[in-house]
Amino acid sequence: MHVIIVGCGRVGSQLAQILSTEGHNVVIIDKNAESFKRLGTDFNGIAITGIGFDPDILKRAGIERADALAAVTNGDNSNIMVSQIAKKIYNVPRVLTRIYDPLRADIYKKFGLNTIGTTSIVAQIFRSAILKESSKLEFSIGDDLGLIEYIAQKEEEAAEQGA
Amino acid sequence: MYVLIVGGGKVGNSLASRLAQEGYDVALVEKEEKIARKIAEDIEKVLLINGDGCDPARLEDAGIARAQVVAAVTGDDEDNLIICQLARDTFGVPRVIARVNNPRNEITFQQLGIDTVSSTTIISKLIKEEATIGDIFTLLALKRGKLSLVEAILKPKSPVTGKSIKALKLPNDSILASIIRNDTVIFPRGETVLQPGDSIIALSTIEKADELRQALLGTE
Repeated sequence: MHVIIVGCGRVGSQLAQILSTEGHNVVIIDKNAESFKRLGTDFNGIAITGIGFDPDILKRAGIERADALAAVTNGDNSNIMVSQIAKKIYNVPRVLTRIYDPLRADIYKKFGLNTIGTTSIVAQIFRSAILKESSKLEFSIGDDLGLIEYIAQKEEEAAEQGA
Repeated sequence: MYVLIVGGGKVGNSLASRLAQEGYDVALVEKEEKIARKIAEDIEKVLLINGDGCDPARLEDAGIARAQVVAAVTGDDEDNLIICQLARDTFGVPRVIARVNNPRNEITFQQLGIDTVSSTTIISKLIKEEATIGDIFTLLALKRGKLSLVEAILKPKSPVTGKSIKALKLPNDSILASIIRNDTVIFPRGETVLQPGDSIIALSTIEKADELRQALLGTE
């Protein structure tokens, strides 16, 4: 797969390393060349310094033949903008958008972006861990992806809660 | 009419005070508290909201639901895009306008269906227009400089003087809108005959303006 990752922060760099190790063609874009240091020496993809939503930069990254794009900069709006360019202008088949603001994550999900609202996801994971609930943890990621966690309980605990 | 402006820089600031002076109901959203405070002291009659204009909750506080126009004029193009999309698609604002700081983003905005204003593009178009037209005056630049309303005053020797409108050969993308003769407005018909001193008001694309000038005034 030809995958473009926009944003070489902790998430972006790790994603790039994983996909590249698995043999995918990875192009990573970041406005700050320093951030490519996070990729380490093993990364064998391409790193491009520039603004992720600049059409020229995206073309250089091969957006016209990309199979997927992940927008993971630390700016929600940049992620939304680059994702819309990828999806609506270049018809990239798989576009994923990280959005910190839960409200905007919901809104843009309705507008058809595959948004991953990390704030809500992490908050729910914490809540679930704090309350040690057996109740399931659920997130949908885009239209066709989801994550469900069930925490198994010991029988006596379940009986206690049921009482 | 209620106008919501997001971004309190120089553009947002002057836009807000100007519209407020003209009697519009204006609210301005500015992220930086210091700047917001300063604007609140400087401009009267503008409702100031300190908060992130990209946050739908702040936009709601600012009364976006009843806004007829939203202008996103921050210094960040990605923010301006998102503000306009939220305004139009989530809150149903009838008219949204985005400022584009980097002219390279203008095409993207247009492809995503958001109307833009880019000062760089406008200035360059206006300069180009000034350079092409010469002795035709530009009265008004429309469609961000793509179309202009121009005025030409006929001289006795101008090639169209003494001719009727139907005999004129004007470039395709231009049209005569009216003739002003001795302070009277004449709406041109085929039979109208042009006289020296007539002031011709025409609408033309920038590309055809020079051809129009030649057709009306000759190559002098």
